[in-house]
Amino acid sequence: MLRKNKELWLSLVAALVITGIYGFVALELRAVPAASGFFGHLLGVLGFILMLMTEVLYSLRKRSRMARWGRMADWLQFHIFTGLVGPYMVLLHTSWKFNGLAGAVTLLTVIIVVSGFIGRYIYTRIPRTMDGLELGEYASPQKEAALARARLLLSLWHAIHIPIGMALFVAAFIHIGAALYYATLLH
Amino acid sequence: MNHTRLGFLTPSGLLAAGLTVLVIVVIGVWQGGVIFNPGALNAQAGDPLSGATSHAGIGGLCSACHAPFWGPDWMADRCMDCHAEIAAQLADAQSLHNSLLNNGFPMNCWDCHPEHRGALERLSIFEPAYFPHLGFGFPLLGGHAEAACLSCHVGQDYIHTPADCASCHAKEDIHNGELGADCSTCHTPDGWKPSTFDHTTAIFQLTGKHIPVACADCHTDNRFKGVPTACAACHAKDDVHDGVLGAECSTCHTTDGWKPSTFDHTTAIFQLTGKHIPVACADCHTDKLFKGTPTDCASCHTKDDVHLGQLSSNCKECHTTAGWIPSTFDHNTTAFKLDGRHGAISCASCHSSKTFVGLPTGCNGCHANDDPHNARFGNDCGACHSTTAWRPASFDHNLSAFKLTGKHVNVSCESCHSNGILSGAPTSCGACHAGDDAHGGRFGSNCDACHSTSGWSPATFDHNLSGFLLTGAHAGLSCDRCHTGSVLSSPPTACEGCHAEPSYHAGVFGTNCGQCHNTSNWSASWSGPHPGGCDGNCINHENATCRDCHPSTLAAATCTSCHDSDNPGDGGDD
Repeated sequence: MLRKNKELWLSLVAALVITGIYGFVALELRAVPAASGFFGHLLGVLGFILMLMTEVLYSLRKRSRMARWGRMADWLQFHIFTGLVGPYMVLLHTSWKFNGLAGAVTLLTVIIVVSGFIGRYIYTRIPRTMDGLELGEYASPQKEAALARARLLLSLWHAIHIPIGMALFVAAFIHIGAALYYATLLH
Repeated sequence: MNHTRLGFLTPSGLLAAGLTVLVIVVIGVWQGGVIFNPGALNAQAGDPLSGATSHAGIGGLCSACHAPFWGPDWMADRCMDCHAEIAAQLADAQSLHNSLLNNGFPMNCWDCHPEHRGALERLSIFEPAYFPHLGFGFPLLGGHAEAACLSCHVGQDYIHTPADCASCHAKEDIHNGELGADCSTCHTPDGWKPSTFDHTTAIFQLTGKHIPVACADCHTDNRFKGVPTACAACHAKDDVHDGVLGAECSTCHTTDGWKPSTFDHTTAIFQLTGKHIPVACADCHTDKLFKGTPTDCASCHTKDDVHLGQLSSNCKECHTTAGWIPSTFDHNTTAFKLDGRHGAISCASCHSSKTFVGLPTGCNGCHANDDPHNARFGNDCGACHSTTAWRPASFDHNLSAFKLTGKHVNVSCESCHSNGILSGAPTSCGACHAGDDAHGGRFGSNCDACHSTSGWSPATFDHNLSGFLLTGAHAGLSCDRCHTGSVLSSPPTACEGCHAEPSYHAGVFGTNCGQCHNTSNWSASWSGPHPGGCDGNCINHENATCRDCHPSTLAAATCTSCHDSDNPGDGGDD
């Protein structure tokens, strides 16, 4: 049996490890690690890859009927883990400056994490199989009503969470492109 | 819900993506690249270059510096567009910026001159931790990394800064230039101390206790050349010998320490042997005097003289350096020879109060209290005793009133002198032999009346002194023929006590054998008248023996042994 909230504990451990490394690098540099430095870029790139995995892999598994790799419950835990650790690394990548588009991406990242956290609890109110499919009809009218409310709430949350996520990824890609253009690929 | 589509490609999602792109494009068109600006440009004013007095003065025109990566020119080229003086430096091999690029460090302008850090931030960073000072062939290590730039780059001349040690550190040279100008031979940028001078390259090798010594202990006044290497140059003040033994300490000492010193005392007049070897130098060489130290025994050992000066001051007449004891004094050179047990006892037995001279030689000088004879035999123990042992003693008992003869000679002294008391032993036989008296005291206690010391037997008893004279055949008898039993009892003196009347007598004569017999001749010699009423005249039978008429018993007589008949008238003379 998996331990309850295992993904949250793993996320905390990962965040503490990353914080420790960040603190060590900061002490070595005697400065806040710059976003454009090696370590800053590493944080940003890895964090963003994790965030991409958060959405794309989870969605692929969720929508796929052909390839059933692993159980949905495990994928949700993976989604939550990468959805916490990735944004945390991105947050450290900012070097605590929130100018322009990069600042907007950071803001959207914070919003999407909070939104995802809320959605996780709405999602789990609907009984599902281990593969994430909703279970069948319920005899009790009270339970049917509660389930209907939960489904409405979930669709409403989807209507908010997914656009924010799309805006975040589009803005992030543009930020990456700008960084490549203005800084990384300059010569 | 359409499960065949990727989850995030919902209409609202795609709409949001489109809107995001639109917003960014609109802002980009409206504001330029400002939304990609990670921070404000430096606003510090300088000389006007290309119409701007500061980077901030360029405005939001990103392309002023940021060339498209697909274009031919680099950002550095954009820098040079304005900073022509730097472009000129890059052509000058002696210049700062040229040096950097020609020392294996293909650096970019922004490595030292980062932008977008804020309006008031410095545009040039030369933090030793970041600035590739190594690029100038002079890495900033140790203390150099902490030094202020201007302490080396005097007058802000970053071009002609010398790299040799002395140019900056000459004034700090505590060696006054004696050791040359290249400090790095011994020192590192980590600090003047510890310096790593390899003293083995010097004339004077450091060994033993010279190794941990601080440099300044020898190199006083920061003098490093021509420091004298003689021992005395440094150690004169340490000389406990006050210079008496010369200045070359190494004759006896090593750098491992003053002690142990390896002075070879065999080279001295006074050889060290036995217990003299481990003695501390100072015990003999008092007051640190090493020359003219007296060699005679008494100089050092007077206080040790247990003889209190009674004997010679030349201790070695008797003693060796192996120790006071055993001493080898030949006592036989004195008037008192030591022999027997005297040779084995400790000196102190006689020389008790450490008196060695004038001790009495007489026995009682020491043995007065040992005399069990209470001086009865005088003081000359040697008259009887030898030094071998008190016993056996050679006492001539015959000098005493009681001569020892016969068996007395061989008995032990204790047999007579019980309880260890030699004097006053009684001389009478009975005193010792009362228990031996086989006669039950009947002959008194004067044994020697009969016995001699040769043995109880034979005794010389004169029986004639008794009431019963031994005559005739009695004299030849053994004692026990009459004295039966173990005790010399008093047998009856009457004849019949031993001699019963023979039946022949038929009770005629009684027991008085002596009437007819004597001890010389048991044969009867009766010459008197015939007993029994014939009054002797009746018959002349003078020549007849008793048995002529009484052949078997006196109770019956016969005549016919001689005569033919018993008729007295017959025969007449026959």
